[in-house]
Amino acid sequence: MKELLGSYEAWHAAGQGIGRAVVVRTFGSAPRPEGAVLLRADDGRIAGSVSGGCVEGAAAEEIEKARANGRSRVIRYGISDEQAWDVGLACGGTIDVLIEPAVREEVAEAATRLGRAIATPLPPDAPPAEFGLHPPGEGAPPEPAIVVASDGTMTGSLGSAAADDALRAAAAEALLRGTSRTVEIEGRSVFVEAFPVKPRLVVVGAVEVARSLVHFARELGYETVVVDGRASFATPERFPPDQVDRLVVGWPDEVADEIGLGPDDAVAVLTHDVKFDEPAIVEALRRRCRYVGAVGSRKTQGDRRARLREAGVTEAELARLRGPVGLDLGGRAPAETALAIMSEIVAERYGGSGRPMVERAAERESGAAREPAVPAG
Amino acid sequence: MRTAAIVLAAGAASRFGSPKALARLDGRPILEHVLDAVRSAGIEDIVVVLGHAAQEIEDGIDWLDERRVRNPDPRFLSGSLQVGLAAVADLDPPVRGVVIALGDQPRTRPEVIRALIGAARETDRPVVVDGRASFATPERFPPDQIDRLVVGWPDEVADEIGLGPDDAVAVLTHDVKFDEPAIVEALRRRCRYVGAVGSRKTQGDRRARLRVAGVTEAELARLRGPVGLDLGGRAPAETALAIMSEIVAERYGGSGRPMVERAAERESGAAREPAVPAG
Repeated sequence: MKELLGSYEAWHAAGQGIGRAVVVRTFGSAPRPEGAVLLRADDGRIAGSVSGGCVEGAAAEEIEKARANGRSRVIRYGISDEQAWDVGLACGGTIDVLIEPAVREEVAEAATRLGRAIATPLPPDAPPAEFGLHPPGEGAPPEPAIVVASDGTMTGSLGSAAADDALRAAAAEALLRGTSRTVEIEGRSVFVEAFPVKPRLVVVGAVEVARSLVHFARELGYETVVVDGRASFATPERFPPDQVDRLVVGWPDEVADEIGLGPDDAVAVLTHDVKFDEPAIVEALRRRCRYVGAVGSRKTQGDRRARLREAGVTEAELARLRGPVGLDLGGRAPAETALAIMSEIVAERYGGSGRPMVERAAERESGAAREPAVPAG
Repeated sequence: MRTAAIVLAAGAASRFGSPKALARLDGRPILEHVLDAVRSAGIEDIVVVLGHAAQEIEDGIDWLDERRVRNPDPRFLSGSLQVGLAAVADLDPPVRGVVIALGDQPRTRPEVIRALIGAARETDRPVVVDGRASFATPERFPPDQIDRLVVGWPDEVADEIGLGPDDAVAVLTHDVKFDEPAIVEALRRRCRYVGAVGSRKTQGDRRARLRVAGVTEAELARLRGPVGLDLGGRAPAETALAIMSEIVAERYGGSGRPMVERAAERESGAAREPAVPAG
């Protein structure tokens, strides 16, 4: 939805009525994930897609009908293997598409301001969560949207405290993963559409490892910031704009305000220079950045922790510092160090152990799992 | 593919007057600048050939794990090169390429060394194989990202791409008729890493079918499936990261666990695995 804001706003400004189709469930290898959106203006223009091209025409017609009768419907589309092959899909998937007679204010606002999830109860005659044929029903007038902010505050209600708690948990999960999906709460299907804040990686030290690190981070959808006090290191030649969103020359503690360093940031301190890396670590810990890692040998780490304690860093804060940094991949080349750090940032975000999946699978089978099993997903 | 470096620092520096390797630039001996550049380019096996003033240089450089060899007759560069190449030939595991750097060129940049390595080898960057021409397009996989884009069945293209023990193979199709021949071929050819995506259920069914296809238990034990390190992410780029991390961890024998956990274990004396060099 976010990527369609330009079209939405232009059509809206021109006085066009706009309806929306959004993927709310997928089965098999669906071409587009939950949350993929197709918009249709009353003059017939469309933007976005809900599949690889096979059901857009049908979905646009359904939007037109919904504009006329004011009802939300969920339609299950099966995509045949043959069609799938033609449009470049791996295999036939099946998708449930919510057709909405209008783009609700809350959705447009969430797509603009981010950091919140929008919950939409699906009409009662929507297809069940189970796979299978389901002829579309008549639908129902749209229900009011429920807005769940990233801090858990909620506008609107599903009608009971227990249901709202379940929704709050689902919204938090959706925002963390950045994926939308339909959840079943007390017998109702609720589409939770996530509009997460883009995760950000702040790299302190414009060194060789930083170049690989920002490359990986960009691929993973992170906004990237590189900070270094040395103008000769922090050059656009070494960190081109297509890799780095912001390149800042300055001392980390001084630029923290400028870049708005905060809890949504992951911070990797790559300088090997005490006078540079310690202020950066102190600042990142103080501002409760969600990941704080710093390179350095075991000896360096011991000395550093001693100095950080002297600088007033608490034991609780120190316990959050990742140093030695990264997952133990064993490599020592700059790109390998960067890979180890990026993997740790991702593992920390989702609570992954870092160990090989085959080991975990073997443990589960032998019943000796030491950690709680993750959902099969 | 592993690449080593030979750094030549045996010359007499007769015109310069004193050992050039130890001349200081930005406060450090120039040889250290060269060693930094080589290491930053991602080369781990570094052989330094010494000759003239060898002991002085031995004592004057802050060595990491470079191998030092001596040319008994350092008057000629070709002799130093031979001594260096002989040392490289002894490396275990063996390397398939060598970069030759001069110890008195401190401004050589890592990017240049990397570009040199990239130009010398064709199979460094990935090969992508798919049977569906609509997937394997240069638009989706541009030439600056991959070396070869092959449309064909994996078992048929194995010879064409020279699939072998130096290759890591990631099987990402969700299609039995495509991924099983690829796995069989990769295991048979003893590729150093063989991973295949799929849920736990898929993996069980797959292993059963691979056994029927004649794959041995020893071969099956090498198959990484479920694939990747447990990072917890589910987005495509996160899955890719988990697989790449596992490929690197497998190569160097890394556990995949956070370094802080390992460090804490070592300190409490409860290390369950052999310690890795501090490096």
